[in-house]
Amino acid sequence: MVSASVYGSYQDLGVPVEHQFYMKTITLFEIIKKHVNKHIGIVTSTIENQAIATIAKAVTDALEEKAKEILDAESRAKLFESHTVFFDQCLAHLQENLSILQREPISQTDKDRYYPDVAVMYNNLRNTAKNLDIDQVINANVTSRYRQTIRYEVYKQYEKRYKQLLKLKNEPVEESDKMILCEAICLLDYYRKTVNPDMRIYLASTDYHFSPCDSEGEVTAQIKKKFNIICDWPDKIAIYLKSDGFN
Amino acid sequence: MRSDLNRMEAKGSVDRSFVTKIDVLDLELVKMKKYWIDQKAVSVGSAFMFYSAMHNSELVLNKMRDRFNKAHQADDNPGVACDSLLVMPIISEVFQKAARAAEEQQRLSPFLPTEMLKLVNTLRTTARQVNLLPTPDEEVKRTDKNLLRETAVGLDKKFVASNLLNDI
Repeated sequence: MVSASVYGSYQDLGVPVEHQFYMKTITLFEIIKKHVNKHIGIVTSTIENQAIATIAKAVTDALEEKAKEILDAESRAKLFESHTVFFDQCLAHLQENLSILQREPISQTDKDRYYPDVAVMYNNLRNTAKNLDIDQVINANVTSRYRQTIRYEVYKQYEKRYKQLLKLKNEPVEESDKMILCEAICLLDYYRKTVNPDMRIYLASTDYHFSPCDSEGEVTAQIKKKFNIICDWPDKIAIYLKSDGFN
Repeated sequence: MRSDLNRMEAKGSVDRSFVTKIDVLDLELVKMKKYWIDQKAVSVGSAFMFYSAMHNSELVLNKMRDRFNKAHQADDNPGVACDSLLVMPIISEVFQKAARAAEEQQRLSPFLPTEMLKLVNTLRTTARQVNLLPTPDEEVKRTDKNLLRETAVGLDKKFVASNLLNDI
């Protein structure tokens, strides 16, 4: 949602963007927009608030950096103005993107019911991550005669393989992310009971605490196994939706 | 100002002199904007949140003034008064919070900038629904395009470099 909103602002201003992040979200929003009457895109207040906060943080971080170099009042005023106008543009695009999503209310009591399970899952994964010693993994899986010669290459491979866990080790999952997962679980439970017992929920995210990195990740696998929520990057979710018949 | 708007709504007629009150409030917002630009006692990020709130309130007030001025010709009578009644309490809250923050400075509650951010979003959403928010094109019109592009390019680097897009 953040990247789609920022991308929209860049388009308006004629600023070319080359980074893949932006393009990864476009197809998904196109599919959701095309099938807007089928309510396939869902948003919650936690996601909405986090999206606004994320854009605000990026804008204020950039402003803080630039403000250090500027001493005169007039330039500082121009800097504040250009940043607020860009911020407003992003907010306008965010509202536009939100308008094609179904806003689902979820009670705090329902969310709280799932919170312990979600917290325990992330704690366990973090403990696994803390105990993860790639050198030990190499010693256990690569015969001693090859270890020395290919250690660097193998180390990189394992680092890639366990990227999601390593990321979790360095950046603990935020409370708001845990809440987002709780909300997804609540919604799946609700939809399965009231709409269709075979209902699937996809959680589109570029956050490694949900979606896989380069390879299938332990966190994504655990979320799917424990809570039946399929987390992946927005472009991958677009592919899943296409295979579900939403072309 | 709210009582004026209530009166106009009840009477079903717009009072053009209300524009003078909008001008007075607008002037206060401009002063407050300048205050937050020059403010060094709080972080730039916090100052920006209050500045942005003042800027957005000003945008809404400008649109309101424009509609009040054209209310009779544009068959916006008393529509603009009814619409303004929905945003005026939010502008009032925004202004009060910014004034409180200006008094607190170093003792500024860390939650206040976040509250301000939520208020700005509420203000923009409400104002957009009642046609009291300029279109994105109108918003950009007054700004130096080159500086805006420069800001966007700088932010692109920020977004990607700090991996902020990983957050959601």
